[in-house]
Amino acid sequence: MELQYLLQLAANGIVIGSVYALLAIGLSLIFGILGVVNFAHGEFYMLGATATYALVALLGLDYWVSIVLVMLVAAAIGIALHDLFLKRIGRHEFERSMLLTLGLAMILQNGALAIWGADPKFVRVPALSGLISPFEVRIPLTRAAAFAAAIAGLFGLIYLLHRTRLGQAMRAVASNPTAASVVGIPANLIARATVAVGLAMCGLAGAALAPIYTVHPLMGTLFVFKAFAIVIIGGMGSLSGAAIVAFALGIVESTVGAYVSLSTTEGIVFAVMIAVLLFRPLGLFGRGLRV
Amino acid sequence: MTPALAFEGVSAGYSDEAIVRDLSCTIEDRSVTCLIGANGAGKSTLLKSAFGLVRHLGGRLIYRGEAIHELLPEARLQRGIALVPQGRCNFQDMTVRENLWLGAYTLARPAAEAAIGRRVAQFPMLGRKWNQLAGNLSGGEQQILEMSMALLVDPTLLLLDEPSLGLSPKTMNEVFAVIRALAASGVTVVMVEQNVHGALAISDRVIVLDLGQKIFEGPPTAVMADAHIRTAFLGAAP
Amino acid sequence: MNETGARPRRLELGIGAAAAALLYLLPTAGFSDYVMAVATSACAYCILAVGLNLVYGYTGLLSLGQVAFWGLGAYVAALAAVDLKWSIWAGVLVGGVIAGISGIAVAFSSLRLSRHAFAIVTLIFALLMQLIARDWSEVTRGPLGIPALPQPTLDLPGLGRFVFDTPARYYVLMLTLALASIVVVYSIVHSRIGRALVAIRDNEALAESQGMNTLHYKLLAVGVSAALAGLAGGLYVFHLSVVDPSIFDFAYTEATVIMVIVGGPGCFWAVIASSIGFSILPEALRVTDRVRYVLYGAILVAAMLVMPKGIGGLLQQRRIAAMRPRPGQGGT
Ligand SMILES: Nc1ncnc2c1ncn2[C@@H]1O[C@H](COP(=O)(O)OP(=O)(O)O)[C@@H](O)[C@H]1O
Ligand SMILES: [Mg+2]
Repeated sequence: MELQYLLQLAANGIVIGSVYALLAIGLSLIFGILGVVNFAHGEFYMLGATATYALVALLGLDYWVSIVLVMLVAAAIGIALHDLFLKRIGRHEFERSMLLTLGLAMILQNGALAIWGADPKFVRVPALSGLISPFEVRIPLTRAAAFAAAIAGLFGLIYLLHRTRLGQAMRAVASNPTAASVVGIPANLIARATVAVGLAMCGLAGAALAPIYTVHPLMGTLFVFKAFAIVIIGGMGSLSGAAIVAFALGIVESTVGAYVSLSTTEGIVFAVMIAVLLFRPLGLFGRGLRV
Repeated sequence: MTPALAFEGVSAGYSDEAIVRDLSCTIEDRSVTCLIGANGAGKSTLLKSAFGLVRHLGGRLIYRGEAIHELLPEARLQRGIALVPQGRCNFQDMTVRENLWLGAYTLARPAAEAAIGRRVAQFPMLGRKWNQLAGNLSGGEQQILEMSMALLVDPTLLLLDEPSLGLSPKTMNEVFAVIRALAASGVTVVMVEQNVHGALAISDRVIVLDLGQKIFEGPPTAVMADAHIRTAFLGAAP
Repeated sequence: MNETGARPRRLELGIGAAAAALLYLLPTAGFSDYVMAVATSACAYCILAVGLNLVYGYTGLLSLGQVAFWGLGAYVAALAAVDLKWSIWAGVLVGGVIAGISGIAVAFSSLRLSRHAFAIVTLIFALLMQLIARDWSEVTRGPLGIPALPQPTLDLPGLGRFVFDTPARYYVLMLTLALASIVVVYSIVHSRIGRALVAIRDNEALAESQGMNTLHYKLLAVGVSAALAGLAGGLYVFHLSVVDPSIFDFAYTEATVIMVIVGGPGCFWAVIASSIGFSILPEALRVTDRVRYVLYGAILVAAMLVMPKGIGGLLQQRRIAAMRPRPGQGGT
């Protein structure tokens, strides 16, 4: 019984972890390629969830179609974000990037509160109302679907980075921006594509979690801080490190969180992050790129 | 004969402050030009300005009759200009294979494959170290790798920033031999060199920079004849 | 960078002293309690902004955790007064010291890595503080906080007991701390230390190559600003008469950052002016907090795009441009 319960918690944690991974990897990619810490990352996740609510609950669109639409719109917003704002920031203007995106986050979060109010909204997907029970672990279909979507997103990213020309160019810019310019990689286009991909992942994350959690304007705030923590613990620049830490965090939160309060769990996460910075400055899986 | 590249009062730098100031000179087609000057004179900045890696602050840059100073680096590369920057400038955490493929980034796949094949035939070391990380190669090997990457696109104007920096005398000779062969095959070369004697031996023209400005230009023999420049930059007794 | 000759400096101090005297007379002008409460909070913000300016404007380190030190000072002072029955003054002082020490600890651990790590760690530290305040209920009383804090009193020998019970009286208290903070930070930035901080901000490698121990200077800047924030927080809670986890709200950080950015990082008086302006603005603006923070966000974005050096920076550029000889008037 006890083991069953733990497995149940772990399964929930893996689902959440997969979504954390989407967010953290997007954040890490944008930092690696543009040198920008995107403070507004969590707000785009919130917008993704809100858009999913609008499409599914208000317009009655199919859930899977909505996910694709949300990702496309998010990517388009990413292009605009790059061209209007991030393009103007140099690679080494770290503080400026952080303050600019902090301003954007303030606009998005408070704007959402002003427009939609703080009331939580629910996304019900009738097609996903059942349960699956592998090994007696009961997993709601909404969670299974979220996991499937997130895993698809993660594999899509791996494919993009390692099997496509665009991904190759993205890794090159992250590795050495000058050398990338020297071989004729168009830095601007790559940066734009990176922000588009990162935001598409935010949209996907929001859409995946919308039927599980309630949707409200403040849902992204803590998420972005957790994504910061994941990226730092995993080692800035190490995408696989971020993914591993994201899953670990999801599982720990879910299992430990069942015994102590959620905010204690969050406190532990942040404390671990500071400890990792103290003792493993490059993160657990870092290869040399610093925070 | 039209010059390959003409600087017309070019100023360039990293911020609003000009490092290279109001510099004019022409680079003849199929010539080898050597840039010399003290540390911090602005030699690297001048090469980078020709490739578009620094801020263009004034003047015009004419490449084979076309103004290129507004163009992005990738557009200049497409027009046949290639740069090998100073120091190690490759993808350290990627293999030799990946580095070469990135060097051929602007080429279509079959052309890239052929070009890489030619360079590997020319420098067998690349084949031997095919799956090693570039960061694990020796300094000389990395220099050869970087030059190979630049040559994949068959540039007509090659900008070399201190190609012999940190190399053993043997590798240095190898590198100079490559440059000589390139020049013989019709590539226009502009290089910055600290090893002035080796460089002057293969140069047609010398430009001396000081504090971001051209203070001398002429054939190598004239440089050797100028007592002031000899003492200041060539380390010879007056 | 901010070199001022001896004469302008004396002028500056003269104007400052006159302004301070006027500010002390404010309560005698018969303003309402509401106005005096706004003035009190302006003093608190001013301390936060001046401290952040020292760290970000002069030293180039973006601290997103000033609110952590502010809240820490507040909780320490409140707990000392309520649980330990200490005098309020002692509690405030100890709160400031603890805030300063924790600032140095946070800075020491993160600055060994990079200034990027510093920004993130200060931010996370503030979140952690809020979580602790909410969760460690044995000590902090949890989400509801500690209500009914006592009012500060001062026994002046011969003059009897003075109770800071009205907003006007509290204002005098906060103003005194604000002026003290201004004096402290002013003397730091106009001393040899201040020049070292600016050197670190402008080119750390160069400063280090000249044999400067840059870490010590950075720790000093962070420690002073954290201690000032802690003192301000400690003093301010007795005005609020309650302390709860919302004292660590990120919104305070956002507001303080806006004040420094719009005023101009590294511009001493402009930041003070903008901190006062932004403390009064919400009262004059009469919009909901939401809309106000949307506006703040837009201001921050616009500032980052068009004037990263703030209004003070713009004015300074103008002044420098005016001093430059025009082309054709000689000089090169
Ligand atoms: N990335 C850079 N950012 C700002 N200034 C630079 C940078 N690189 C070089 N400089 C400055 O430009 C000047 C010329 O440098 P450089 O062109 O590298 O000289 P050289 O190659 O002749 O040794 C130097 O004063 C140097 O400090
Ligand atoms: Mg150089």
